[in-house]
Amino acid sequence: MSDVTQLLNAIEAGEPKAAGQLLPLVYEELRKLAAVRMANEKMGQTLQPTALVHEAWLKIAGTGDGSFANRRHFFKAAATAMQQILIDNARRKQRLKHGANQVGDELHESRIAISTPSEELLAVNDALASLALEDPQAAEVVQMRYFVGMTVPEIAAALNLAPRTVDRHWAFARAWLKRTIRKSLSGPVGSV
Amino acid sequence: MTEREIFLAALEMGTPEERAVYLEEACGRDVTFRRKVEELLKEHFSNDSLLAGSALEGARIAAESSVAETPAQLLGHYKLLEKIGEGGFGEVWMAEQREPVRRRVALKIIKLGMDSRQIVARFEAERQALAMMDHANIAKIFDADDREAAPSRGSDALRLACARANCSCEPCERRPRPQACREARENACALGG
Repeated sequence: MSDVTQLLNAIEAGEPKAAGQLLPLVYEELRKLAAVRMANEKMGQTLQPTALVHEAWLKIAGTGDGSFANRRHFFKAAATAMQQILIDNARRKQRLKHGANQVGDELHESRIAISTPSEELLAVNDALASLALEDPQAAEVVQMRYFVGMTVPEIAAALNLAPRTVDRHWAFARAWLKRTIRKSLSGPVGSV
Repeated sequence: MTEREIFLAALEMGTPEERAVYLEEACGRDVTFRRKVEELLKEHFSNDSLLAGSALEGARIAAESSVAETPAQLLGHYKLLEKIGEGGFGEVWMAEQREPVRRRVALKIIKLGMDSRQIVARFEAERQALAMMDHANIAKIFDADDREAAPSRGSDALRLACARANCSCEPCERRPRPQACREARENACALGG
């Protein structure tokens, strides 16, 4: 975990490459934690990703490097990692739907069975990229709320914002994304 | 003011009427702009499921018995989880059936090249033997049509299915009940009744 701490400090110091290096480490850490959880839980139990992310964070904060800045960077990386996992999973499902049945390997991410349809995940993912250009902080809130399942108080703590502010970000971002998605669904080239 | 600011301010209003008055003032003559904000408000108040909360509500991560790097394999509607037996005929795997219903099954995968009539006969005998058993951990075997099969105990039930990789399902076509081969096109044929 000291690698992660070093990278978090580097991000805070403004090093350009640090964030890109952090992501795979956080991803790997989440995966390992999930594996440990799974080994101890009964089959088919619900795994709360938000608990995983917090657990991973505690490991870092426990070393005394849990500054507010580091916390924000970490949670953002964790949310991005979860987003990637879910989107990769959704794309794979789409390929299976539209292509032939594949007998072959499945990556571990495909073990995540979500009731949210993959079309919705992919649509939100695309629209979110646009929102991030206009309102990066609102997009961060969506990442954490939608892809990790963090609550408003948890997001407020992670981003060092007032809960009321997080509420407003979420309200606006939600409406904005829905409007964008509906427009793309009804437009002439509605590729979602 | 940006659409975000107007949207958030409009949400502070108590009634739709007050909101409309506010929008009139804030958006002025810009009809397009006003319509955009109205769309935001409409989405905010609509009760549909899109972005209602977390995508993960109801997420379930299916555990695999071997947590390590072994990739899972798909065979038709079945996801192979763990090999639990082996013999001259082939292998037995614990698998997760995905369609039309999600449940654990024991999947017998037969080696290619074995005589299909012999296999059918052996399975028929096995099925009858199982049908006579009355054990807490063995589910009753029903018809091979998955839609009718109902394990007597939720997810603990084991159902004996047979999957022959790349089978052409010849024996099943000759059987009096065609539904035995409902899954033939998926390269797996569930026998058992």
